[in-house]
Amino acid sequence: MNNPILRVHGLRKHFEVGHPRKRLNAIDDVALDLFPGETLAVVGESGSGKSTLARCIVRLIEPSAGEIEIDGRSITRLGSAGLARVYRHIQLVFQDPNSSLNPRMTVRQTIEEPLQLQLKMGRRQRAARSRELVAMVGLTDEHLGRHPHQLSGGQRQRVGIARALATEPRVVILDEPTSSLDVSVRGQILELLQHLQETLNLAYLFITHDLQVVRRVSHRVAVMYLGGIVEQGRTEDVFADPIHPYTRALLSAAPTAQWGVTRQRFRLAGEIPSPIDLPDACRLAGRCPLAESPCHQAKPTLVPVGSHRAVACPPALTLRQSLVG
Amino acid sequence: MSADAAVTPAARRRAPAGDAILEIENYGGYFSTSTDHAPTLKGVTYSLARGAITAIVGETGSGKSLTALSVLQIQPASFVRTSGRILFDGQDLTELDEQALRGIRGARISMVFQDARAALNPVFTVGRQIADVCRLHQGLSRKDAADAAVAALRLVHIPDPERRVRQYPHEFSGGMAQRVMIAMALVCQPELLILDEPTTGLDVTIQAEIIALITELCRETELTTCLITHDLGVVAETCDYAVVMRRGEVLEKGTCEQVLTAPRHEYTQQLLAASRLVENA
Repeated sequence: MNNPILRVHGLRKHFEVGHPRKRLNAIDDVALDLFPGETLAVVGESGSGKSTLARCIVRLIEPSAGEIEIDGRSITRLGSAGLARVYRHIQLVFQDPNSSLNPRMTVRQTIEEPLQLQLKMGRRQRAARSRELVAMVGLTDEHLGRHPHQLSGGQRQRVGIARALATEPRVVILDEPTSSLDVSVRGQILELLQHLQETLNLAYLFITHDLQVVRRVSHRVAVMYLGGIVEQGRTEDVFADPIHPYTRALLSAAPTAQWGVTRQRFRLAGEIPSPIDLPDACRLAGRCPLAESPCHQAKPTLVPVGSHRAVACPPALTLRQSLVG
Repeated sequence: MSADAAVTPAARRRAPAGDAILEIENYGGYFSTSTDHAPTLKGVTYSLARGAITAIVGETGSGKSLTALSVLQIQPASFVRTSGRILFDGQDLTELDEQALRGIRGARISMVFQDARAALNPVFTVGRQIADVCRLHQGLSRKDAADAAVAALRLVHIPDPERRVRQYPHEFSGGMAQRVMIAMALVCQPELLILDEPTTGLDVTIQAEIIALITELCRETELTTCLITHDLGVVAETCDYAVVMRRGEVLEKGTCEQVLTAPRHEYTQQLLAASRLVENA
């Protein structure tokens, strides 16, 4: 296997909140590898820390601890000039194109800005490249002169994607790129992203809460709960046979659009607790039907299951072994 | 382990064949603020059967919420009705004056909105907000209304209701706030409950809990319910009838079984295909 284009190791982020100061652990020891040409989905519910993770990786939020490497080179201690050079290779697409596009800039200005600042292109080159970019995301030259309010939601997201691709990045972090779109438009944007990945060999880190999207676009999936990854593996494996109790609850909660069919729900008690001043225990222990006393005393780490899978839940793994053999 | 992924046939639901409690007939209109006064609703016609759960399905801009707001006559002031009527128990709601409408809203027809925490007033306790509804519509004393609020929270399975009634909306999670909204909508025992995207914006595990709650409450009391949603999965699990809307028009309506198993309109087929990605991928 080739080397990961993005490698994150031991990443932590805590915020100090309230009076007196309390510690909110938004990201708690996260490690992941992203390989060229693949899509890794990070899935979790609100408050699981998935968006904070996206922002920490590009240091829009400064991580508290951990290492981030892009193409084998650490960016953790780079200054702003060094980071600016790195951003050519790693770009973000945000959830809400209404707030991530400047309403006073035309599509042309939005797309040409990174060409000018990052690639130092001249005017004629920029014009040619911006026409190429809008065509790539399925818009026409006519859209270049428009402002964001003159575009539909789907078209705005296409502009966000064109802007991210302007510098020919190798990694694109997509932070809920389709959650603000209707189902039919969502399908078109996902298709576009998949097409672009194949033609440009892009690596996507796809942050989402939508399991349908995960299933459709990702090769591998990491499930987050309260700041930590509880299970990761190949998408088809995780969907066919979820091991961690949280993954099981999450997958079985999604309703199916089929008449006369109801899923058997794997239910957790209560709701996701506050991430402030968490004890050193399994984050799910209070809600989990499998919880045993060790779960309340130490936080379980990810244990490999086979060669492509890792799960942070000793009781589920024990149960699984007893069932298998 | 794979038992979770397996699906079991649900008990076949038979759609109750009640008479219609609400009939919307050829309802149409436009926004006076639009430049060309193009119609936003085009002859919308559907009815809600008494005691059944009816889904109104559609994407953004389909007019599903605007029609529902018109039932309570709380549509935006810039909406101009050009045709049709809305009959509730025989009387045309579009003809009623404000005073008559106030006797219906919250008492005989109540509505739950999408963003529960935005719909609750942040400066009053949730108990006070529920009690106000009872005092206004049922003329209860302060004491009785406070008791009714506790009972309402218990009905929607909020733990420790005696303590929770004294809390403010910001102390509730999104799912719990939506339970409060449902409690508030049910406290006067309405004849019709309208839920406008009650689970949009909630996490999938919380959504499952809220949907289970709504189904339980509506089935137990045979409350006529109108569930506005864009999620066909939710429709399949809860509803008896379904109405599919797009761009201000009703494209298809029928029992939930008909619409989901034998959709006639191409658009419904596309929506179904989009929602079945998980199962068929």
